[in-house]
Amino acid sequence: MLFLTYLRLELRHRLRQAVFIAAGLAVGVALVITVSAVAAGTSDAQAGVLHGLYGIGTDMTVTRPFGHGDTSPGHQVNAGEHVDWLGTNRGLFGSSAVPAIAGLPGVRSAVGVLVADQSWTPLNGHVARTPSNPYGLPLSIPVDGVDPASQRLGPLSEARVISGRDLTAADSDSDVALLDSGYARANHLRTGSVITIAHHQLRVVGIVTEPGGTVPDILIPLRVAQALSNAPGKITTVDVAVDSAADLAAVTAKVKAQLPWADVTTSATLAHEISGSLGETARLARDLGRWLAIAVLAAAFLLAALLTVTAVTRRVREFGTLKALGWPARRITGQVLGESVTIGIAGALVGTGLGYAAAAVISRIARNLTATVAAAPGHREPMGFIAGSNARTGQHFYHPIPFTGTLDSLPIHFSAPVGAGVVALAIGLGVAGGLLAGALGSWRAARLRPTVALAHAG
Amino acid sequence: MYKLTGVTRTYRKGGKTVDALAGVDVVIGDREWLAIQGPTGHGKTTLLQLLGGLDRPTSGTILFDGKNLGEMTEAEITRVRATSIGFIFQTFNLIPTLPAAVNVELALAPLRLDAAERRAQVARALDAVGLTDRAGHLPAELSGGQQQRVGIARALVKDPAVLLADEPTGNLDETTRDEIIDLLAQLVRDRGLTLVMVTHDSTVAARAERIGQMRDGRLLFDGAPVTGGDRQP
Repeated sequence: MLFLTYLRLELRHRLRQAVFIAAGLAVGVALVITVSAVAAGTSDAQAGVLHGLYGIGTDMTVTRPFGHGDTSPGHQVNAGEHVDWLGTNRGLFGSSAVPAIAGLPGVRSAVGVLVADQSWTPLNGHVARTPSNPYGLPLSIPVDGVDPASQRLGPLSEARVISGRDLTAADSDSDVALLDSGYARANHLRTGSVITIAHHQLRVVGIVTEPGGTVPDILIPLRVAQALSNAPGKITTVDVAVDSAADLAAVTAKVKAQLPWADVTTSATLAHEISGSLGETARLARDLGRWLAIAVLAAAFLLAALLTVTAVTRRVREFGTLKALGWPARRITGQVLGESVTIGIAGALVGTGLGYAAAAVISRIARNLTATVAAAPGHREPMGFIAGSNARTGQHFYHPIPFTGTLDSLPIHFSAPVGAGVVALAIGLGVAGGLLAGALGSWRAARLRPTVALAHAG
Repeated sequence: MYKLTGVTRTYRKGGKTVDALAGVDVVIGDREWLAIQGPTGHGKTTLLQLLGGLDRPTSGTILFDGKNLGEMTEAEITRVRATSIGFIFQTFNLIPTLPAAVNVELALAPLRLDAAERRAQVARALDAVGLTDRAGHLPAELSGGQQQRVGIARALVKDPAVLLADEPTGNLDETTRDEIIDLLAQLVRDRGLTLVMVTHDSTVAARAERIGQMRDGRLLFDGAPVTGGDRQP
């Protein structure tokens, strides 16, 4: 075909310039692919983190700000060598909020949780320094009081039993517990072991794990947790599943109308809480990467357009000759466009390869990012204080308990996936670059008057 | 073939009006070989471009086979160039990136012939100018005379009615010039073509049947403008 023969021979003749233009487009396309892949990777990773924080199927959480309304009640302190109590630094509210929220239009289900911490401190306030506790901080162990009947929403939805059994509705008032596998391993506990919370013994009925690593160390029935923390009928959190993601905003408004004191957190608001290297990567991909890709693409397009117009200017007499031979303007336009689009396609293909390679390299380098997240949003206040006197010495102590459980550093398996849509977009951009350059060049070629073109010094 | 009546062509150049053609009247008959001579800047090339439909007159009419070129649409006039008019240029105007055969084939591109037919016509045209063995050579690999032969093959390959040649031997030495003119004369005779040739070379012009002189935008024969009718179109 004459069109292809002409195109091939012309491009071969000015190979260096064609390669230069294609390389510029390739870099732009590669950047678009890389930035898109990193953005997709961070989005996936964020989704993974949020998934871990929320539990399967949880669309929003309802909490109450600390210090408003109910606060953590008094603790169960027994005489002895240490204080062992279960309490929470979070805002408490009545369990009646659960059926109130569950009854709202658009809500599929709701479950209440008492998010608490077991604190263990010697009565003299001095905690022995150990390699795992170099500052001698009071020990704090996350304990969730969960509804044993709710396996599909809330903390139990995340937990996978690897030993023993799960909690059931029959356990509502039983002194039983599930342990996180990491906690159990570190403390040499297993199914059948007995643990003590607030000087109260509970039997371990199962060991659980969760891929995100965000399950609390100890899960116990809600009513037991309420009793041990001296907060009967109180909860700290309602996990909510909605009928449709599109209803999220409307349901949020209804919850706030029903419970004016409530803090309602959705995945969108929680995403802002994510920081750490994952957050930095996401921001880098979103901001710097996006603008860099746009700038390089724009420069590549401009370069391609300028070089194509320059090439057309050099070929003015050639186009004049073609007009003298009876070539219609559209055929000349097609020839110039064909050359430019071919360069654009070559740039897009090379750029796609480069983009794939860059995404693979980034996936390899950034395999182990971390995300620093709030274990639950809005609870970064100090955990509380222990005050009292030593029963034997009479010495008073006042010890602040630092909040150790709110910020978690989660390992993220990061990968930068290159989707078919991104490849199509990249090839489209390369072709668009070629078309843009060709359109300018061919427009100039087509509007040449034959007499002027033939008189041009070739 | 052609009948020109009162043809003028005016340009604006540097704020001034330039009359490139100041009223040309001439009839060019079928199969006629007309040579046009004259000093540089007196309108020879402008006249040739108007005859080839590359430009349009400011006033007057140019009838080509009875049709007014000045009133044709761009598409119609492009079609006339593609089918009926062959151009031969002083500087050959070959596409430097394409081999001789492809350069010749370019003239057939607008005619929508199938590839086999195009290749057969190209082969015949190159054979007619004695360049069969140079079909695959780039212009830079050919001598000046050979390049002009390719140019002639390109002009003839579509079997036109008219050849318009602008100084076809201007870049050739005398020996090559004579070869090219002999070739042109033979092809014009054998194919029954009309040839309008602009040339400074009196030796070349002497081969034509009729010689016109361009002076100040007017075409003169034997010192007087043609009033028309000495040859029928």
